[in-house]
Amino acid sequence: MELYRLGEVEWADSQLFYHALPRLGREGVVLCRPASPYLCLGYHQDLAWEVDREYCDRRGLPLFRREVGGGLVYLDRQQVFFQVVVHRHRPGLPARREEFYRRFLEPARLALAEFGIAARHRPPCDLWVGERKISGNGAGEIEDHYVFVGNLLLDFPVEEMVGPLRASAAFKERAAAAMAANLTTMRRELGFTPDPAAVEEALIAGFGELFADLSPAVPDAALLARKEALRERLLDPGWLAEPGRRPAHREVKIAEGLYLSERRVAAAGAEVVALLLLREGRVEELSFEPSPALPGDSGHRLARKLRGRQVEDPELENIWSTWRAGYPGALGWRQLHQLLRGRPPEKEAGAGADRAVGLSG
Amino acid sequence: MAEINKCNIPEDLYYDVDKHVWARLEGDGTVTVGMTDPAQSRAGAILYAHPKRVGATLAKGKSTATVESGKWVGPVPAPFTGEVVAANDDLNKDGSIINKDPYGAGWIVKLKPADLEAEKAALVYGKEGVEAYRKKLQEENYSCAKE
Repeated sequence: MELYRLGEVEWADSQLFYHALPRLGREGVVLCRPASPYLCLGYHQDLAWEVDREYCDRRGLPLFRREVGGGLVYLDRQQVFFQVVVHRHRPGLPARREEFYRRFLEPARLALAEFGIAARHRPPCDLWVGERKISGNGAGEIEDHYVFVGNLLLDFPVEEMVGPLRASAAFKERAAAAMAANLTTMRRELGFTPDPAAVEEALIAGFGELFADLSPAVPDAALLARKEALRERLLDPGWLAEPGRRPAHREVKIAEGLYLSERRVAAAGAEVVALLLLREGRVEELSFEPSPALPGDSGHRLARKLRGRQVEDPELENIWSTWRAGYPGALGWRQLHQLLRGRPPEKEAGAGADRAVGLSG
Repeated sequence: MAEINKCNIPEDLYYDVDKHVWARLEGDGTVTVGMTDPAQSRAGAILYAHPKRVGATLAKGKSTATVESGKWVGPVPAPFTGEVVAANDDLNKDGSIINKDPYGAGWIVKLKPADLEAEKAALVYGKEGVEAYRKKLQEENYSCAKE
């Protein structure tokens, strides 16, 4: 297993080497950091849906679409990347995806332990310290190889991450707060920013445990040529703009099991906009923008009643019904169901009541 | 339908066991292609699947679709060289159809193979297919049972 310890590289190179290796039929472990910041889209994401291109242009922030999964990430030199390319027939590879992730996150977990940071695998694919994520990861298949990519956060500017999102100011503000509360970094854990070279050394020791035949290598002519050939394809505006998944509502994954959504529904001839933070399907935070469908402090009161509840809790309709008794004509059950669960109710139990007071939606 | 390690393996399909894809010969010269039960089980909850567009020409082994689950993106390789004549666009809205019904509603694309007879010989069918899958799943000690 060849180890390419590349140090700081041109921003796109921090993605291109691991895309090139499987196309050459070669395995490898790549360690690197981008010299300048950029945004990286997941394979199936839709650029126009996810990203404010004007913001990126103003900041000179380049974009890349990788061929592995996961979501949009802001990447910069305060992150040490580890990228593993293994042939899919390599003996001993776990068939179960979760076990595969655990195996390839172990070097990063060991590296953090070297610094006295006790991290644990949070399935499917995160490393957490306490209740905070410290490592973002993704994986995929390119040609006949499995690719696992991740990073260790030395430091992370949450404002830079949320700035380019194509979302409302309120959403960005809430996303930044949720990230600050639920992500951690080596700097935050240690009280100082560690030397990236020392982090790389710790990762190399960890990957040495995983691959007994790990041996240092430098990119040869074939790898460099393939990387450059791929640059043209993977930085092509057409590839970047390739249509992708457009979720029904604006949503960002903060960490495993933790999602921030902005959901909209028509009600009482107006629009109700809700910001919803869900942890393992439970309402952790909920707020509504002012709307004629939520008179006075009714929105606050409803949000307070729903906090801590599972969105699929059958009791929610009763909670809504009690709340609604105090606010005739306010948000209907159908609309609340749509806001919380992202779909209309299967049986329109509240629809009659909604129609009786002339609600739309 | 055979069951091996809690995985369903129908006996009336052709398989590329190594790539975990099935193919059904439709009798009109076309072939329907999909992911096998072990493949969808291994993927876990599929969030999104993006089949190739109708009209695309694919070489054998190239991707008929990309599928994403739990931060993983993988291809569904074509078992035949040919043209995509139909694509299951429902998967763009709900990839979990593949989890629920990998051999039915979760089909991926329909191909018009360039040389069906020649490439069919590289696949395994019926009892032979079931036995090949049994061997593979036992070697990998893989079960489709939910943990």
